[in-house]
Amino acid sequence: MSSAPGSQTTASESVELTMDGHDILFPKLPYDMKQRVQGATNNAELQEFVNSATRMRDQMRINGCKDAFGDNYDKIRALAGDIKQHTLDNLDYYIEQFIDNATAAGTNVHYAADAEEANAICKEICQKHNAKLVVKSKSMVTEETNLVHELEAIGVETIETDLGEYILQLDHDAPSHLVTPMIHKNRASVGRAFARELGVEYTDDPGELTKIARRVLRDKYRQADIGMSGGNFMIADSGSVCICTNEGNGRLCTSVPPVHIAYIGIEKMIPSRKHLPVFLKLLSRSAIGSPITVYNHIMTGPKRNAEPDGPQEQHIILIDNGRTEVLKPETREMLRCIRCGACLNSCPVYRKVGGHSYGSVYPGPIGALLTPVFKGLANYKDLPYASSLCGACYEACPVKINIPKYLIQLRSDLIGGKHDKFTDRVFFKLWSFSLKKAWMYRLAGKMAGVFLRLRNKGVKNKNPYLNRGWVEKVPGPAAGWTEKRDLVTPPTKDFRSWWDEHQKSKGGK
Amino acid sequence: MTRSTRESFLSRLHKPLGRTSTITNVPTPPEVDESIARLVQPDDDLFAVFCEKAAATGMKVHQVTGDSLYETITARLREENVRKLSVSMNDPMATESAIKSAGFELHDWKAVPGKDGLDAQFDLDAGITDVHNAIAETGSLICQSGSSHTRGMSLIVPWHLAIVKKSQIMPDLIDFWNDRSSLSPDQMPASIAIITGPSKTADIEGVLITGVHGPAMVDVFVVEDQ
Amino acid sequence: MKIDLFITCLADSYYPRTGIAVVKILEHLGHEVRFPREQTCCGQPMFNTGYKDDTRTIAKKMIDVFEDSDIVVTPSGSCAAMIHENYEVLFENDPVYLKKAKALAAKTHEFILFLTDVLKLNLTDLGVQWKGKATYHYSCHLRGIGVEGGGAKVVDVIKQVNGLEYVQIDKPEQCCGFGGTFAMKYPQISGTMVEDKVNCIKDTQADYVICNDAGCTMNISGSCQRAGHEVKFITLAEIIAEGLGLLEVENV
Repeated sequence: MSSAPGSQTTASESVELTMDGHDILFPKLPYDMKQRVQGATNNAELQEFVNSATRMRDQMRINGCKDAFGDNYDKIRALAGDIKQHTLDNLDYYIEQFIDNATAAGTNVHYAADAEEANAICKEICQKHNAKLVVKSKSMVTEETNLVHELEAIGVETIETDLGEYILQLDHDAPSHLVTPMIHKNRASVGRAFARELGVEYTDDPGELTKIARRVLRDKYRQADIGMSGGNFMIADSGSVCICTNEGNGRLCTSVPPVHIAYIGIEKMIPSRKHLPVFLKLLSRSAIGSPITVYNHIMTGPKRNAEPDGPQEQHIILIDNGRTEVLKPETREMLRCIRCGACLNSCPVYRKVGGHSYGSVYPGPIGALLTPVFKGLANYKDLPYASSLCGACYEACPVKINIPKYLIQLRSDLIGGKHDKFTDRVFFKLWSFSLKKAWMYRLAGKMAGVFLRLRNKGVKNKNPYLNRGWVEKVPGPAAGWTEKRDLVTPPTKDFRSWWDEHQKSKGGK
Repeated sequence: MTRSTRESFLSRLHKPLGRTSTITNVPTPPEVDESIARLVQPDDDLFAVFCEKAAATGMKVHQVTGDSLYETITARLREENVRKLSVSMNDPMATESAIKSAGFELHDWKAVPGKDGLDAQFDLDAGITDVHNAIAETGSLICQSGSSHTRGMSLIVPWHLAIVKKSQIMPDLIDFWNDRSSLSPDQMPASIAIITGPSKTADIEGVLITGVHGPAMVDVFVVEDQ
Repeated sequence: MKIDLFITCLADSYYPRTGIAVVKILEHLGHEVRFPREQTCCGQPMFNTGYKDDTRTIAKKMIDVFEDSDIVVTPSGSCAAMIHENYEVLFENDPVYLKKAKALAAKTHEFILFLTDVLKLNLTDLGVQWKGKATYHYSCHLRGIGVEGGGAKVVDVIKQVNGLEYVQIDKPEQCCGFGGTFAMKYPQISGTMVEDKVNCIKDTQADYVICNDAGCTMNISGSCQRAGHEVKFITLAEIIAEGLGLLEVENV
């Protein structure tokens, strides 16, 4: 895989060379998915990359979960799903309990209705402390609010410290996966970005590249005025925030700088500390198959007086930004998501198109649900249809979100809102009408058969129940089919004909 | 722009939940069914399970006795050419004098107070701490912050050496959180770190690298007779 | 027992031999098979595309047609899954049909599962003898009808056939990319998915692909045809019927 700088176009570059990170996640609306899909499906290298990485992680999930839970795997997913659903059903209660407990522990709790308000609060805290440098750990909600760009715009240098996110930031790229954000990039592109942006000698050795990042970032932790994090879980009965990382950057961001700000979506709540182990057991296993993330950092308030280190000030910004829209009963289940990425890894579509094809912060099956609800169904009409409904995501989800069911619901909502094509509507109306009576259904089938057999390029079988042929190109709504494969024609006789003969022969006996 | 208040923010939640104010009766969340969620039983051989699981995470596990502890630690320090290190301020198992007499330079917490003391942790080669608990299920170390426990010593130093007493090993994460769940928010340690292995990343092409931000090495000394 | 056959629209028009096999096997086992002639389609294509109202009309017809049946058997996992999973969703606000929908779901069985789980048959004991080198495509709808162990369970059944040389396919759990209208709306994605599947089939060097869902068969066989890969597609029902001498062994 390794190559000299500039010798070959990398997966990510050939797809998105002309975009900067922001446009990848915030495309022009309404979003046209097909264009990026075209780029991704024509990019064999990207596909090979994403395909093998996701398949490997999916297998690791299955092995890790089966090893640990055995026959209880399904039951613990149901339990985790029930706990999350219960929390969402009573979210007002738990948010209030959380606010009271976090405040009692000395945390400043803030409320942000949307991205703008969240960033305004954050900027005020930065300005109050005259902050010049912010180090942050990985957080999807900060991607939603476009925080890094906004802080940089007011002159606060803001550094992503998760290795993958750091590389993406250096290379003006954007995350394409919830857990492994640079799954679409290869080592050569990292080497080139480091050489260009950090002035180091080119290397594409992952170990060396990691060492370089470590060296640069350690100084940043020491100098930072503010550390930022997201939050994997909020615990209502103690007012604690839990963040889970493997690299340790999350712990450093929340331990070394004198001020800690956490950006957290309201759906990250769980009722109590007793519920936390269920999720710690499932999160990392679902993501990468390992029993638990290396660092689980549970923070309750700022450092106590006698403590030698730790942030003196802690702020938690509770963020809505469209979540209360999803909280309505019809879509509430979608908010159970704990961002493990298992649905992405298991998804045959994600494996082919990569995360950037989804045109938003949340890619993959869960993104195809959340994005249209967050950002307007009319803006993301393509997403709910970008699935073969195979159900692999539902099987992988640690909180049992019935993703296929909700994809169909969104499709139905699109049709209810008359967002479907007129020709599709007519086609399905006629088809449905023909199914009302068996004779119409049979007639329509016969007509289709005649039409197809006219275009058929040869039959190899004499049996009237097997003499199917093949069509290379059809017009109309099925044109997409023959773009990629031949269309089979029906044989000359259908099952009903045989049944009639069969009954006759039995009657004759 | 008018800012959201606690009240206005909560009212945003009430609407989709179909009510006008927060429910007053305490909701009953689902119980954690231990027959499903528990992975290690209290009567399992916790010591053996812990050692096995901890080693599987990439930590070096040493089974020692109170007598062999110092010798094992100092041998490891020599092996890794450690120059300067720190020992937790509570001086677990009186390790400090043993380390000092073996000729290693020790960080003096009292001499460099405040932010400088914190900063000094970046220049150490290693840090020795005790733990508050250990978890057999996952091979995890629990390090809580406190007046004599910095966060940096299990985090900033490139090498973390942890002393675990056999009696501190709990079977399952469930046991640890049951134990901590009666503390009020202000009694909770400001920081509880559940540490399971050296710092890891696989962000570049899925190649596993240890020691990206946190310690690249973690040694665990499990003391059997304490 | 009296068994009513739900043939499904694809098997009726495109793969009638599967239906023939099912009838012959069930009759061979001594059951009375009936074919309610007013049946058409389960409505899955409309439902999956989001046309819920249209689907409801079709589903009502299905429910009415099979209302008096004791047992409904269908050779398609995906149509069985439609009845099992989605009919209830359609009639959430119609208590009369919700009850009927649940009743239909309870008595509807995919053919292979009917043999193994209801009739508790073992193909070896039954004396199924069939020669050929075959692999098996794990249909996604095994998930929809809640098959414990998914495709692996069907593989165990396939291995009960005497003389059949079974070859395991790589990436068995990966969807072939059919997904109904998905194949038409996203030909690029669906196309790369099915190409992946065809490559895995090629690697098995099998002469037959056992595929029990007509939708998957149309997709994968169409792609094999386009790629010039010669392999025969057959259902397990056809293999059993051939293997019991109920159907002539033919070039499928």
